[in-house]
Amino acid sequence: MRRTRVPLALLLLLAAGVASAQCERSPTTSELSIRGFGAAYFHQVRTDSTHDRVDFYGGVCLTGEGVAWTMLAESVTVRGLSGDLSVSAQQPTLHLEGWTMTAANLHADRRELTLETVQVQGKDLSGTATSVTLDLQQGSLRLDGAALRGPTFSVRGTMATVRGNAVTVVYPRISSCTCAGSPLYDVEGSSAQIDLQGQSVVLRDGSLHAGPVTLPLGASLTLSEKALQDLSLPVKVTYLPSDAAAGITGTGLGVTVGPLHLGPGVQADIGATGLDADYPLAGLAMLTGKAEGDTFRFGKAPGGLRFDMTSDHPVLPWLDAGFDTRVLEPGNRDTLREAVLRLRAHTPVPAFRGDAGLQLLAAGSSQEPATGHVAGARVGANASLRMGTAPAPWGRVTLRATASETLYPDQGASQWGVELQPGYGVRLGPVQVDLGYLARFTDSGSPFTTTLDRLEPAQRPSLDLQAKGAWGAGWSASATFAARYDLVGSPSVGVGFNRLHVGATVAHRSGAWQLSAGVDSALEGAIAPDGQRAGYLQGSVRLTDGGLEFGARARTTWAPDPVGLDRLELSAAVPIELPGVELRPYLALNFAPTVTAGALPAISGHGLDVTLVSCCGALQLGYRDQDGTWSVSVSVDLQRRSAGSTQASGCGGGPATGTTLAVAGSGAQTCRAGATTGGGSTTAAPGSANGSASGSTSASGTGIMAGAASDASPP
Amino acid sequence: MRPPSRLAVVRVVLSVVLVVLVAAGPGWAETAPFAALTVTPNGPQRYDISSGVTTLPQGGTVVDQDTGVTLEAASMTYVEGVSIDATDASVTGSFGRLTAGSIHIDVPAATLRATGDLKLIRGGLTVQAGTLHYDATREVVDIRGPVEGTSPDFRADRVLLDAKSGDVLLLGRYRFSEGALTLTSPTGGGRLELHLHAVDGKPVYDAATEVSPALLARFSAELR
Repeated sequence: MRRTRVPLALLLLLAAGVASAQCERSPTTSELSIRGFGAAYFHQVRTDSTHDRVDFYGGVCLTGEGVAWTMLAESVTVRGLSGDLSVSAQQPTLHLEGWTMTAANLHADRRELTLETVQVQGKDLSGTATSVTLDLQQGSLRLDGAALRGPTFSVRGTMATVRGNAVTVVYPRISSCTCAGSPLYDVEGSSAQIDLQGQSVVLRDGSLHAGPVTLPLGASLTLSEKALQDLSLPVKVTYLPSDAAAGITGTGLGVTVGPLHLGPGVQADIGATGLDADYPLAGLAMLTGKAEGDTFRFGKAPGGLRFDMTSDHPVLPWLDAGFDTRVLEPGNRDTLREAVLRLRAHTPVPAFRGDAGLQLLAAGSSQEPATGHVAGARVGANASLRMGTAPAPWGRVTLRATASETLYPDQGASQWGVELQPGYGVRLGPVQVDLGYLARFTDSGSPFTTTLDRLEPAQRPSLDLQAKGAWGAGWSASATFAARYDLVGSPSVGVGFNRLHVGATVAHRSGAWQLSAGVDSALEGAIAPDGQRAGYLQGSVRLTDGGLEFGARARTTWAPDPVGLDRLELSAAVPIELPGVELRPYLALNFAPTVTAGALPAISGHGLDVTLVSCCGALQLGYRDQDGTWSVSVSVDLQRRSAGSTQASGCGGGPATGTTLAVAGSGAQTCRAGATTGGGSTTAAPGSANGSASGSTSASGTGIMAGAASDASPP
Repeated sequence: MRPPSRLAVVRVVLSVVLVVLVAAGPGWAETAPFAALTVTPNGPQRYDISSGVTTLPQGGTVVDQDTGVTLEAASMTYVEGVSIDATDASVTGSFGRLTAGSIHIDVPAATLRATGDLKLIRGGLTVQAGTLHYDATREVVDIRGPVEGTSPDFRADRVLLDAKSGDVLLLGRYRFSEGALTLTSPTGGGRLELHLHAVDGKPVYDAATEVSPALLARFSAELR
């Protein structure tokens, strides 16, 4: 009989309840207020004055006085009404500011309420705790032995405190793996602060554990939607092919891991180049240290052995002293060794919104360029001035000016230089206009090369135009124009346009599909066909829904070589889903040889994306070789999970017991699926000589903790 | 000194006869409360021979020799073996001490009905209410309200009192306070048993919403 009454009582209580899970009276429930503690709503009560106790049974809803908490149980016993009040209950369900907790036992007095062996369910977190203690005066919540899961992560800790939307976990172990059992990896720290509203986690003194591997993560690591967008995984892939015509000695395929934090301010990058058979295998190792005002880099870089050290310290508020050393030994060519002592005075110039400085330097330098060995001391001074007008509707004018004089006593030489860089920028509606001019006057008297300090004369006006716009129905467009003109030639740059680029793109999005078309052209090679400048006209169309991808591209090139039509390309990428893995091969065929010479089409691009989906998230690895330019992508999508992986949060997780009924009745959570796709990958910039990529987590979805968003709605 | 009139002599004689009859009446005095009443007037009493009504304009005291129920009133009328009506009265019996603006005792039915400014005091219980009905045979008090108790602190639409045990049943909408507790009935009304017992020699009431079958049986007639 009682068993049938209990659900009825709860149902009546909850049916009358509101989203805040307050106890509401039904026509059949009685109420008992306990002064200084709260109120009970129940079906049956029995007081026992002899033993100073009150028993509520048949379905009880207890609500706190002051702090807004609500507890449901079949029976509740209150003792010590005339003195030290104590409340106990079996199998209670506690509601507190969006949290629902079911426990084996409850004990409470006027100061705090303790739950034992607890199942915790919140909007963004759920899990278990050995005990949960609610401070009835402050409203703070403490979880001991907590193991919580969010939509995209799990966290365990010896203790967690909850105050509003802030959760602080002591000695946490955090992982993006939300499946049962030991996670594939986790991150350990001294504390973690989880902002449930801002959806961010700040981890202190963290270290990454993956099997036997432990990597320190620094004193503070922030994981948030924004931070994840910017997060770089410590993996870098490079590919530098040899180019005999350009005098480039390639290193082939290289992988670098780092920075690895070895200690406070000390980190290392390690890796290897020449991983492909065509290039010699070579190791890479670079140690970097940072302290207050001091930095050093030491190791073997792709360019050769390197040892740099910089030390900057303020002597006076307006005077800094510094000491630099540079050692670069790239094999047998252009070795550079140098030690520099600097003294720099500086002062702000508020009237011109800028600053002024004067630097004195003394250095001992040694360089071995192709022309022969040069070594000796150099002393010099340079003065600098930066100023600008305040931003105004009519634009902003800026000016940078430097003047330098350097003496080389060992060579009996000197070098002077004066450089002026006026600039003007203005936004005209959707168009940003930037005008600039570089004027450098010098006698180029340095016995060293431009790698060290040699100056070259320059008179170089420039114009940059950028326009961006979007309008209804998913349309957007952008256009760019960039021009640089060298009025005086130098050994490295001839007279004339050294850059004259124009480009435009238009894009349209309709649902998941995006269509984009663009045209760009390098015209400097057409105007000045000196065999150094580029000249081409290219048009392309691309259609993709994030998985499927179709493209077409045509390019005609007239400089530096008059090739004519050299690209008539069709490309496609097609996703193939397999259990636990998704493949996305890419192939581009160039039909230009077919059109121009009747030859077979050539493969102009190929690639493969492999996405491994697990309960820890989705890891996507990919490469693409387009026209000999490699790009590699590594991305992590925490929102995307393998089917059947445990989902936490208020949606779909937690025990399907009376708790579910309680939650539903006291502010049901209606779930909708979070975005599960994304592709926050970083790829090498097109046109760069080598492709490199660092993984980044997806920026899609609603953030680290909102993969399954919840809405509170009445039952 | 003027000799008493003939009528007065008759009245005195009848009164004496009545008292004797009341005191030594046969049969019912042994089987029902209010069957063996002793009336002691505070002043003159008038007997209407045509109606059989005796009036005590200055009140008096009526004692039920069998139950010990004692009625004191500022004024009183009674009909021998039928009823007693009293104003500004107090009644003391097993149910406690009752004061009321008016009290009516139905002698054959052995019931007492009190109305107007009534107050019932008994060990551990003080009640004020609108009307009170006492079944002397079953020793059950039915108090209707609103009923307000000051010891213990409660309010109820209706209260049933077991005069034998002192147990109380609150009916309808009620509120009961005991120390830091304040118990309120369901909005639609309910039942709350207050069980009287002693803790450290002091009378206290334990409350229970689940009423014991024994108490329900005691009040079965009132709860019908």
